[in-house]
Amino acid sequence: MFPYKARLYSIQNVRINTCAEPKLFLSFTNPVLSYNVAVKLEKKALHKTIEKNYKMHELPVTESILSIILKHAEKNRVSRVVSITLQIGELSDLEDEWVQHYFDYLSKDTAAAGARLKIERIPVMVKCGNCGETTEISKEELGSINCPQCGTEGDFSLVSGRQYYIKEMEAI
Amino acid sequence: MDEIKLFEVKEDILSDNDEAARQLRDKLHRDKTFVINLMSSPGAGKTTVLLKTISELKDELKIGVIEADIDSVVDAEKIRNTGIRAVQLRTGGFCHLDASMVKTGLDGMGSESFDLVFVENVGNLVCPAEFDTGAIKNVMILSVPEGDDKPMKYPLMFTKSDVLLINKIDMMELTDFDTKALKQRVTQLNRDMTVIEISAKTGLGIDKWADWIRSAVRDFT
Ligand SMILES: Nc1nc2c(ncn2[C@@H]2O[C@H](COP(=O)(O)OP(=O)(O)OP(=O)(O)O)[C@@H](O)[C@H]2O)c(=O)[nH]1
Ligand SMILES: [Mg+2]
Ligand SMILES: [Zn+2]
Repeated sequence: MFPYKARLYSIQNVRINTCAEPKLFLSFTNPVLSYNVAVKLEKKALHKTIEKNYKMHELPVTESILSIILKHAEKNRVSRVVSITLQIGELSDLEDEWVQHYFDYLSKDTAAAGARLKIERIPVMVKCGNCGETTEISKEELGSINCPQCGTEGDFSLVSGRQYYIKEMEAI
Repeated sequence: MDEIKLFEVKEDILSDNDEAARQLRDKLHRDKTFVINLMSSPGAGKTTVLLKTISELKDELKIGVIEADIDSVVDAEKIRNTGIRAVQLRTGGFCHLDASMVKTGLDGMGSESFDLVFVENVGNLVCPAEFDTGAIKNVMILSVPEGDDKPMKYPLMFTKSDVLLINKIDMMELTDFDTKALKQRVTQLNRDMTVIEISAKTGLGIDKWADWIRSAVRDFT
């Protein structure tokens, strides 16, 4: 473990604006088990992590997915989970690759080991406060378009796009 | 060979946190403790705004602060110098606070005896928007040097906040920040959002922000 510690502390000044600072992600002193998980990732994965602007909240999200899945696996008396289908809103900042990474790590020695995560992205839908029409828009259009139905400027409320949902699983 | 079967799961991944946040909010209502979750990019001015806000309100309300600094106690020390109770959460590099962390901080300070507690969230516009902290109101700070196009880049944060503080307006002259364009973008994302322009440095607009807090606390209790 020690060689890692040395190198990880050496990147502590990297300033990243999407997520947290890298160094503590890799901290050994943190009492919460999940942080140690990151430390134990393969060296290659660590390099990738650093390049990838630090994806951090994938970790608690993945822990939560696993615990829900294991609960369902037990309830349905399955021996192995093969795949899990998630529904994630377009507005949710979650990287598929990282969720799978963490999942592979966390699920070792459980009934969900090796399960493949399929992620369905749920589009952003807004409702116009003037005409009540619901419209699907892209993330980029949010905050910059008028209602396509009635032309009203910026009177939307968000009806969909923030989901973090487990839809189903395939299991044996 | 066993065959693969499909099972419906239909569960919200963040339901544990959402439930914890809901319970925390119930408790805050019972205790009459108003909690504000303060979010922004690093350096937008959370701590400076807090210091100014505290000096404006500390004679009227019993105030506490929870600091989520990544790794230092710098911000908590600054707050303590004002004579206000500040609890430092060890977030261990977490990119956001969740409801159970906030609860730990509130329990640690005995929040039931406070009227108002500020939570300085981790400096980051992405992750804190995803996790409900259990706070009564969410407030975000956008500082002038960051630019007026942030609503397009971080829409979720803008949809989740009740108040937007535009900070560092003393620097307006130095930038091409377009307040009108910003406000337009903001109302498109969240028409219920209150926008207040301030300078935590000169104190400009802090009175309006303090008034917002006064009336929100009054409505709450
Ligand atoms: N000109 C000007 N500078 C300000 C203003 N508010 C804060 N600053 C400066 O901006 C810098 C960062 O302010 P902080 O209050 O530490 O910001 P923060 O959001 O708490 O930063 P982190 O906790 O590190 O994320 C400091 O040098 C402040 O003095 C303002 O209204 N105008
Ligand atoms: Mg600060
Ligand atoms: Zn319309």
